[in-house]
Amino acid sequence: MAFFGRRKPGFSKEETVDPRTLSDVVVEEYGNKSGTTADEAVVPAPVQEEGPLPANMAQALAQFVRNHSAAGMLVSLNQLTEEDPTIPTLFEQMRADPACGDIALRKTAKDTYLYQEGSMSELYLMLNTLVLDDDAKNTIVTLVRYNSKTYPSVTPYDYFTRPPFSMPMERIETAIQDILDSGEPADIARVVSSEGNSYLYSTDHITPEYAKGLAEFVEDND
Amino acid sequence: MSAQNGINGWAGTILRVNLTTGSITREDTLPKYKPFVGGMGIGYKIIWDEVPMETEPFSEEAKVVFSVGPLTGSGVPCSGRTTITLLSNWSKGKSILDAHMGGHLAHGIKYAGYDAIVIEGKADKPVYVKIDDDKVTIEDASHVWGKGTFETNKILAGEAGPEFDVASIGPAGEHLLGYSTINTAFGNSGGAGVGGALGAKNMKAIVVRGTGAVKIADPVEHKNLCDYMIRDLVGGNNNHNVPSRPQSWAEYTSTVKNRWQGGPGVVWGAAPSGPIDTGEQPSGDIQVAAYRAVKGVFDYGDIVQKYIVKSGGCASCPVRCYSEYEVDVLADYDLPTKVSNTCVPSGSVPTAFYAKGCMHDFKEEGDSKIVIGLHGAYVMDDLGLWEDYANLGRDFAWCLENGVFEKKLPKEEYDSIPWQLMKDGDPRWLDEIMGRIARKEGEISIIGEGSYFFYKAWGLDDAAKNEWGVNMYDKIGGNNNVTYNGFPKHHSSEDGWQSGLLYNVMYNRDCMVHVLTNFVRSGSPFEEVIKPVLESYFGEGCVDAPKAYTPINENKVKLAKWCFLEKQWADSATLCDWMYPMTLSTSPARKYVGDIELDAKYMTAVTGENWTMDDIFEAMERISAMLRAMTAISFKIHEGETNLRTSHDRVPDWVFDKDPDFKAFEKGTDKMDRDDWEKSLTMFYEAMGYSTETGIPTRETLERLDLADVADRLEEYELI
Repeated sequence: MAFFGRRKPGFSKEETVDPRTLSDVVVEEYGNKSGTTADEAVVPAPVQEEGPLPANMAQALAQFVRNHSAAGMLVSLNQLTEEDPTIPTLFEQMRADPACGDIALRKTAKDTYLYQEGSMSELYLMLNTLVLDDDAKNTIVTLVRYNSKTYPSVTPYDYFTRPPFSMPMERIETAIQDILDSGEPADIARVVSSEGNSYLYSTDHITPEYAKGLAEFVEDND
Repeated sequence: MSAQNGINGWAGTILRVNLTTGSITREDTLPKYKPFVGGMGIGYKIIWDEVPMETEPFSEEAKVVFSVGPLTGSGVPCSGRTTITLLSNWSKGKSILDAHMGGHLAHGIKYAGYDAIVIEGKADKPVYVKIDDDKVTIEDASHVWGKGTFETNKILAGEAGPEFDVASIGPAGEHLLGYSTINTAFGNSGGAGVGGALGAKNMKAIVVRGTGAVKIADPVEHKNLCDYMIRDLVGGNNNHNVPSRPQSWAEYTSTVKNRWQGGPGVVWGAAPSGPIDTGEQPSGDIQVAAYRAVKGVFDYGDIVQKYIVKSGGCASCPVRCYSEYEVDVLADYDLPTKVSNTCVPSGSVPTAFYAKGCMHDFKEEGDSKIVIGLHGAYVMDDLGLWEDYANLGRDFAWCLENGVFEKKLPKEEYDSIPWQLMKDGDPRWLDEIMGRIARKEGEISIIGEGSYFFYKAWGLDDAAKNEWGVNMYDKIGGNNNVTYNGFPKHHSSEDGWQSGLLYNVMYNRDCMVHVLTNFVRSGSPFEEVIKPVLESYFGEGCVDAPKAYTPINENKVKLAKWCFLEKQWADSATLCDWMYPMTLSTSPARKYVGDIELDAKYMTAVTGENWTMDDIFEAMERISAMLRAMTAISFKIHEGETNLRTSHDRVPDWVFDKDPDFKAFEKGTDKMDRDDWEKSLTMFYEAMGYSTETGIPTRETLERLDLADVADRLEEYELI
C-alpha cells in the first residue's frame, strides 16, 4: 500500500500501516495550489489520534480521513487513486464497513472528497471542495452568489486572498476579468465604491443600486 | 487593606476630595445611591444634587466624579470600565455628560474600597490625588506639570510603586482645552473634556492602589455564569459572533471585515519569541477567546500583523481589543516605537492632518497609515488631546483642503507653522501641529475647543457668514455631525435606521452606544440569524437589513429604547458597552441566540438580591430622565432654549438629503425621511414618558421614577 507511507511526491515504499504515521500527502496538496506558494498558504497538519491500530486497510483509510478532518482537511479520492490504483477497491470496502459509517463523501465535477461526518461545518466543506477543485473562476462565482444570497453582502476581491483560498491577487483579478469580459456567468457583476474599491455581487440576489449601497456600508465602518 | 463593609457588589463608600480645603471625607454609598446603581448613575445623581447647571464647567465650583459600579472588579468579564461625570465645556448647552475608559484603574478604585471619587474645589498649585486603600492624600505635582501623560504616569508610578495604577492629564488638560482627556498608564483615555475639568482644578493625576476585593454573594453561580459567557456567548471585539476568516467549525464567515479577525494564519508577528498564530477559535472553547479580536487587523489590514506584539486589554477582559505594536520605522525619526491604541486616535484622525497626497509609504506598500496612525495615537494620548470621535480630524481636514487656515490665521502664525513636515509626510508633523492645538498656541487651537465653538468662532455654522458658503452641520459628504450641538454620530442611522438615530440625539456628546452596531456588523447573515434572533426579543419588524430600511414601527422604537437604556446600564454597572449586552452568541447549537438577561443574572449572583432586567431598566430610565432634565435646564440657562425636540434633538439636513438619486426607504440608501423621523421622535418620547412636544420628561414619568425633586426643579425653570 504505497500511499500510506508516502512522504513526498515520487517516493513510495511498502510498509506496515500505522495510522498514527499516515501520509501528509493531502497537506502537500493544500499547500501547492496553482500560483500559491507554500509560504502563502496556511497548511494545517493532520491530527494524529492516539489509539489502537485499525483492524484492516479499509479502516485504516477511514482513520486517515478522520485525522485529516480533525485538522479541517478533506481527502481527495482522485489524488489517492493516483498514488495507489487499489484505492477504489479499498474505498468500496470502507463504504461497506459499518465501522467506517462516519466517513462521508462530497462529489464535485472534478473529484470526490472524503471527510468525517460532523467534523466541519457545511460552509467549510464547501470552501474546502472549492479550494481542492482549484478552479479560481468557479470558486469566485460560487462564493459571490453565496454571499449575495446568504448575508446579503457584496464580496471584496481580497476575500479570496484569505485562507483557505490564499489566492494571489493577480490570479483573482485575472479570473474576475475573465468572468466580466466573457459575461459568463451573466449574473456576476462588479460595483465600485466611492473610495474606488471593487466588489462583486450576483444580480440574481442584489440589484445594482443595492450593491452600491452595500459597498458604501462596508466602507463606512468605524 | 481597604475597608470591607460586608456589602455584596458595592464597595459601600464614596470618597470626596476637596482640593480647595484639602478635606478628605467619606459617605456611605447605600442606600442613597442604590436607585442609581453606580457609575454613570451615581455621577449623575451627585451632579444633580450638588452642581447647579449654571456652574461654569471648568471652575472651582464644578465637580468631577470618577465612579464604578456593583459589577466592576467582581470578576465579571469586561467589567474594567471607569465612568467620569462632568459638565461639558465644549458642546452646546454646557450640559451633563460622561466620559469612560477601560484599563485597570476601575479595579484599583473598587479594590481600594470606593464606588466613586468626587473631586471638588481647586488646588492652589499642581497636585495629584493618591489613594492607597483607605489612606488618601493630596500630593504635590509640580514636578510633572507640563509633562505628557506617558512620562507623568511613568514618574508617578515609579514614585508610588508598581502596584499603583496612574491616570493623568496632559498639556491639553492643563491648558483647559475643550478637547481633552485623562489617560491611564496603559493608554486608555476618558475624553469629553475631562482633562480641562481637572486642569481647572490644578489636578494632574490620580494614583490608586487597591488591595481589597469585591464581596460576591454566590461565587459558584458567578463562576458558572462567567464560564458560560466566555464559552457560549463572547465572540470578538464588539461581540461580533462570526469569524472573518473561515474556520472549520464556523457555519458563517463574515464576508467583509468585522472585529473577529483572528484565525488560522493570522499572527502576532512581533511577539518576542516569534510569530504566534492565533489559530482556530471555536465557540465553546473557553481558552481561545483572547485570540479572536486581533483588533489591529481590523484597523489596518493584514499588513499590520508583522508589527503586532500581542493583544492587550483591560482588567477582567477576555476579549483583548487593544493591539500592542512595535513599529520600528518610527525609530528613524527618534520617535517611540512601542505604540498602542484601539480606537479613532489610531486611525482616521492622525491621517486627516495630512493634505491629500502628502502621506507616503515608509518600508513597504500600505504602511503609511500604520506609521502615521499609531504615532498620531501616541501623540494625542501624550498630549491628552481628545478627538470627539474624529470630529477634530474631519474639521482639520476640511480646513486644510479648502485653504481655511491660510485665510483665517494671522499671517505670522500661519508662516510659523512647519507645513513642510506635513508635505513631506513626516510623522513629526503631528507632534508639531497637535502640540500647538493642545497647548493653545495661536488661533489654530480654536479647533480644539470643539466643533460647536470652532464653527461659531470662524462663522462655519452659517453659509452666509463665511466665504466658502458652508454650514458645517448640514454639509453632505464626510460630515458626521448628527445634531447641531457639536458632536458627531456614533453608529447612527447608517447602521441602525431610525433606532440608531434616536439614541444618537439623546446625549450631550457622541452617544457611545454600540448595542445595535454590534449585531448589525457582526458578520452574521440577516435573514438566518440577525432577524430571527432580534425579532424573538423585540417583535416583528424591529430590525432592517443594511440599507434596506422600512418606515418606523413600534418594535423599532422598542429596540431603540432598549439600546438607550443598555448604554446607561453599561456605564453604571460598569460593563463594557462594546461587548454588552450579549445579543448574539457564537454558538451554532444555540442558533446564535444570545442572552440579554445575563446582566441581571450577574447582578443577582454578585449582590445576592433578586435582580431582573425590569429592575435594571427601571433604574436606567431614572438615569435617562435625569440626563434629559439636566440637558433641558442647561439649554435654558446657556442657550435660552426651552424645547429639546426643536433644539437639542434637531437633526442636520444631510441625514435627509444625502444620496440624491434615492428616495428614503429604497434599497441602497440609509437616508432618512423627515416625516417619518418626526413620527419616530414622537413614538420614542412616548415610550420614554417624555413630552412629545418638548422631549422633556413629564412630571408623571418623573414621579413614577421617584424623581419628584427633578420635576419640581423643571417646574421652577418653567420647562414642564
